[in-house]
Amino acid sequence: MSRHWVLGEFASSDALVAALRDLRARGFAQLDAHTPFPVEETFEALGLKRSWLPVLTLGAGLGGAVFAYVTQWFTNAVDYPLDVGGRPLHSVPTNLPITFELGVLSAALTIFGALMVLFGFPHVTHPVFDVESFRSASVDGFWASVAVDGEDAPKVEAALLELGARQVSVVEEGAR
Amino acid sequence: MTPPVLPRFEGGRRALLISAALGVVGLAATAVGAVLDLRQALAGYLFGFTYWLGLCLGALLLLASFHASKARWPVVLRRALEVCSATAPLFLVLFVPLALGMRHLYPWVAPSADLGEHTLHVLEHRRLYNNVPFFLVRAALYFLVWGGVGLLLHRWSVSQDATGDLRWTVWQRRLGGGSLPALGLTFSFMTLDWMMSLEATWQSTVYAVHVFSGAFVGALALMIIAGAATRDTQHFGSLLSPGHYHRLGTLLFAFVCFWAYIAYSQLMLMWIAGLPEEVSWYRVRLEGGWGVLSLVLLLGHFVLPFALLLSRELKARPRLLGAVSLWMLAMHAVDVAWLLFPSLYPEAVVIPWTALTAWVGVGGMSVAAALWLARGTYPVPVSDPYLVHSLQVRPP
Repeated sequence: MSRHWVLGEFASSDALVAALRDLRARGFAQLDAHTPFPVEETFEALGLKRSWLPVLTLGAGLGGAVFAYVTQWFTNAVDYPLDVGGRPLHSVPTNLPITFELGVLSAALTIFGALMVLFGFPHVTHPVFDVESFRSASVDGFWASVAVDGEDAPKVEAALLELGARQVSVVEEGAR
Repeated sequence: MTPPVLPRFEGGRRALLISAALGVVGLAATAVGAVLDLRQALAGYLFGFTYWLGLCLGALLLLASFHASKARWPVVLRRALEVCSATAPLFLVLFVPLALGMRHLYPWVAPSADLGEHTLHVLEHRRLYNNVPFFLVRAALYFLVWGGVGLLLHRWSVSQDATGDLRWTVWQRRLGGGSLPALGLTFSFMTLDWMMSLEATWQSTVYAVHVFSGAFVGALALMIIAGAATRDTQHFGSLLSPGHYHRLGTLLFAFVCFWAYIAYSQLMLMWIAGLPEEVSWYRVRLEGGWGVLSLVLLLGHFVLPFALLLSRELKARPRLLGAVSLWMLAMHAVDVAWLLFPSLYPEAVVIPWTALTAWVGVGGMSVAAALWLARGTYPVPVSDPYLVHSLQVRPP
């Protein structure tokens, strides 16, 4: 069974948020919202969970920092000790800049890479963009999208119209 | 003009009397301490004075920065900031004991022969800047700038309450933004004059920034605490939303990091250079008893608040953020003590008991002055054109 997206356009952000809440109450889980500007209420109406990206980033940052520190300690104090002006071989203050920088670098690269994975990088488009009227999502239309199996699509269409959608379209994965 | 719905702030009478009483008791106890041991009492008094003056100037700098950036979200907080800033003239009165007792604190006033030939030579070389008349003239200039800017920003904002005239907004922004260079310079030179010159020859170019970053953290923490403490009253705390706390918490987080960055930079540069006249300051603070205080600062002023303030949930919750802010105010006291006392007592760990009495005394007086200024005015700038904008702030 191929995946379908049922799209419904609403006239206002309030109508969209109300419709999203209603759809979720009716048991549709795979919802999305497309609006011309960020509508904060949609985050809560879609029931989005907190992203795990911050935790991953923190882990990567700490990992990078530990790696940098251990490397400096090992090379300077253990593997190749070099006396420079009688300073301690293991010197904490001078190890910190590299530790900090590798921590930040690891965190930043992790965000970049993880977002690529989350965005599904090799794909640069989405079937919903095939719908000509969906362009209004960048102008004045507030769109709700529901991902379902093909046989459920008519049920969702009916629900969206009942909730006051101005127009409803269905797109199918890989139809083009 | 729509009539303001908020009542004027008429409460706080009890709090005012209690703080004023604490102030009198604290200062009297410090005076008793001065009879017993003048130098110790002055050292304690310098601690209490710089701690509270730092909070006052931190608030003034925060207020001026908000005006300079034409910030709209903090309008709800502005009256509280204005009240804190306008207490600056009080510190002119509180400065008198330091001006009278400066020869007991600062080695350059009357250098003793024990300092050694080299140090005496350096002090003689600096005589052109470090001499008593010029020191007092500079102090007068600082108070003129702080008092002038603080009082005017407060007065103009209160004037706007009555009429809603937009002219006051324009004037406040001009003065706030325009006075920032003067405020920055006077703050820097104040730290060099009143704090760093406790050292005979040691100097650091980031000393002023270190003091500033700590004071700024303190002023932000003070605002958060004032808001959280007045949540269930008719004062400005009742108008703060999680969005305000989140923004204040983010600023607190940023300046905790900035403080750590500045403190670390100074340490690293002096560590690498390893010059005898520079490392003496750190040898006192890292070795022996004072080292414990350094460790407390590293963990308590940076590591712990850094870990806590990473959380977005915590920053949006008044109670939790208020608890972290209280902790930061305590850590700020450790920071000020760490800057001052090892310079005065390099041999052994000495924190005079007058530090506590002076802290209570100067603090009681400052809080009483702030409450006295707040009484009778509105808790927020009710006629500010951006108040509505500020009330609508939401968390990200």
